[in-house]
Amino acid sequence: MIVLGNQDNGTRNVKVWPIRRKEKQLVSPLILELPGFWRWPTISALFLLTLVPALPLLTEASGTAATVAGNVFAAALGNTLVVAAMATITAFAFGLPIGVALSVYEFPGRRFLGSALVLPLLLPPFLLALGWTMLLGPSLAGPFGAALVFSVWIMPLVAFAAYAAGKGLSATAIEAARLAGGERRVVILMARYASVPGLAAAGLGAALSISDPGPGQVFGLPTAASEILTSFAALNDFGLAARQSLLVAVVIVFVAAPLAWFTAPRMARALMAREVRQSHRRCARGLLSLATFGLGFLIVTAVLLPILGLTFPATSNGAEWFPRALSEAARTAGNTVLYASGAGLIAVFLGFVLALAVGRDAGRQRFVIAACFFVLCLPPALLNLGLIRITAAVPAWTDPIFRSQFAMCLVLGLRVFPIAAVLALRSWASAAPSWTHAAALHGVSLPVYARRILVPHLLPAATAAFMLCGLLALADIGTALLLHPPGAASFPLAIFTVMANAPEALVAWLALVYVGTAAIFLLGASRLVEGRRT
Amino acid sequence: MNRLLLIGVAALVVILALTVWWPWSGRGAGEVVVYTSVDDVFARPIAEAFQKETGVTVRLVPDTEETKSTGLVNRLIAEKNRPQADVFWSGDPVRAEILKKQGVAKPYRSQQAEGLPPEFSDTEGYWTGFSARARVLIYNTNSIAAVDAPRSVMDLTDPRFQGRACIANPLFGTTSMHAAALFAALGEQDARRFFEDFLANDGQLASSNGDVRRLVADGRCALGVTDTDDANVARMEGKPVEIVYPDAEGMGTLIIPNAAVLIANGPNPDRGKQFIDYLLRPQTEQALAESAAAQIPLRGGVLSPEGVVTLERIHPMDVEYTTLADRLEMLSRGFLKDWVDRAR
Repeated sequence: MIVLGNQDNGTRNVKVWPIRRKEKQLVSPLILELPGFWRWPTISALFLLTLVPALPLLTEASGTAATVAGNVFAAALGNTLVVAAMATITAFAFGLPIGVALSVYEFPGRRFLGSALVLPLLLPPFLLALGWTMLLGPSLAGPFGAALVFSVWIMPLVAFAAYAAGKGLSATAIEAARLAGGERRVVILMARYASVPGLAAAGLGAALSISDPGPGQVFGLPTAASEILTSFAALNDFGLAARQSLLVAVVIVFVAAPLAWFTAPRMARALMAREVRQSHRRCARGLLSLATFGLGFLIVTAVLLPILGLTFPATSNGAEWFPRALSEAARTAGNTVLYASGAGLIAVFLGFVLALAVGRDAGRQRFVIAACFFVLCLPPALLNLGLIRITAAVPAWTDPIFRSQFAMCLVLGLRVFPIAAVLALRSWASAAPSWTHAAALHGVSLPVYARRILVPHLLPAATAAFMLCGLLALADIGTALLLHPPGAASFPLAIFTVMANAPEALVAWLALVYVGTAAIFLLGASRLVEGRRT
Repeated sequence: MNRLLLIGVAALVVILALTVWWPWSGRGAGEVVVYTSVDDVFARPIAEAFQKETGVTVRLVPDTEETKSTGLVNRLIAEKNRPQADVFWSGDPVRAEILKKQGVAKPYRSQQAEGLPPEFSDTEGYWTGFSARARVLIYNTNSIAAVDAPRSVMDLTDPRFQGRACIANPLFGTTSMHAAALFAALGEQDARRFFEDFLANDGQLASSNGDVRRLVADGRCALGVTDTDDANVARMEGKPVEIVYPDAEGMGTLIIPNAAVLIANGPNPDRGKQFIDYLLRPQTEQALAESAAAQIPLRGGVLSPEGVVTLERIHPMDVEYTTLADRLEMLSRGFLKDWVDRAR
């Protein structure tokens, strides 16, 4: 269309743009598919942006003479890798089938399972670890306990990545598989299709867990993150902490390189979805129904047990603390929603810009996935303290930006945006290049193509990324503690700051109110989405 | 439709911008920003009472040294060039001393400090000590009979408590201060022997003082060392624990006063001073004594509720608080770090 104004029988001014002028302004959608000089600078700029806050401390790292890698640190790094590997494998082994089941089948408790899966993401891992210890005592001490906590924490990422991938598969492909080999064939097809994003999500979740010292501390396991924390908090040696962080990041990138090498090209190769028609979920029957239900039950148990452990004291005594918990929730609700939605929006924006810049080139994808691992395993304190130093050096008039809720949202968004990037990469890969070519051939401009085709196609992945990143951002207590503006705490931070010496019943009520509110919100959101689809 | 969408997006952006900007629009002389490492449950009622009494808005930023965060002290150091805080209300004097050494603190001698014992404050006025906690032994009454109750911190190494004693990680929190104080009180050699004997006696390393409280209250440890506020919470919850103020006959019990610190170049120094004045009043000491923290008033003559031990009834450990920060830094990089690595 070239008519931009109203066109009528002459009683009103007619405003019609000349064709040539319109054509000059037209930007072809082909820009998204063709190689361009803008891609690498955009990718570099995005990753540099995530590293800018860390620069002051990284600069300091070069000036320290302290030894980074002694035997203790090497052993701690070894523990970290063992825990990360165990958590990755476990989360993948359980998360993938659940993601597949959620996307293909209707079974008893499906909606409940989907909501329960999100719960671990709401809580910082150290709270989950505390929940386990309250329930089982010291029997989980050591790497097994830490791996269990991180597995439960990472599993939702895998499940939702698999679910999102599964939803991208066309109805025709599923029906063809069903005709060719029944449900077994469908499950195999879905699992193969969803395994690559699932594996990438597991790896990224593990990278994110590497920077978290909480479960290691609770279960008495020395990890690289706890060593870095000691350098920060006990030794006040920022330089040493920065060097240790860099060493961990380099090792993780080295270890994760095969994963990046393996997953990146498959992201692009999984271009099977050409059809917008989606399959309907089928009721699981017989043995399949039993297996799905059993697996769901197992996972719900694993997810809910630590939360029950944490909230048990609320039921046993101390009902008088409930109003106090509610008032804390009311005091912090606005900021909690703001941080989650702000961080989610920023992460989604950056992730999808990154995916567009990466395009379909396998080399760029490998680089980006490896860079995502690097970013995720950097300890938040490195970025946060660096940012605080930067903001203390800039003029006061920048405070409403750099010392406000916006700064919190920005840093949290920068921290978790690799998760959104992976979902975006996968979603972008499932958009056929032929759509772009057809649009370009018919003279459709880029904005129109984006609005009519691309955005609707990417929207489900963007929504999933928004929710996941928002939840992960809320669980990042370290960032919240260091960057939240005075008087603008989030609810998880409020729990964190009272949990050491407050009566167990108050902590339990706070956790219960938080988890309960979030679960109701998520259940409502999922019903809304389902309702819109139908 | 497009126009509506654009208006919607623009409205969302404006709302978000206003949400971010709003808190700054009212920020000014009528408020005070207080960073505190005292637990929120204890600090917030005091801040709210100050706000009610003076009309000055308190923006409280709480932390807790127990949960191993990178922490507010590091935030204060990083913000040193242009701080946001006016006051740091520290739960112990060591962190206040670190801020003094880092040039973050500013001397302030409050009129309200009258009556507070000078040995619990910085001689140069960089921090002023008030209401205190103490490092105490707690034991599980189901595991240990009253006649066998521990009397000294040294009892943690007693063979009769083999494998049943616990302390928190001495690299963090008040346990780190306690470790430094033990080195000051006992001397290098005896203090090292204590820590080595603790390991040889199969002592357990807990993740925090709160963890010590839980371990002892649940009976997983028979005894441990923690702070009075932790111990008091366990008692209030009806757990089978008893509290012992250790070493009444020997080196004494470590007293950990709160410390009020005025931040150098803070945005509202007058309000900061006003808040510190409020903290140092006898009424605040009384309020903290009556809270679940059961803090010990440092002033004589402040009425304490039943169950809160007064300073006169304790034999305080003779330590110079201003030197503990240096000692702790040295120990954290050397012996304690190595000891923790072996203990885990």
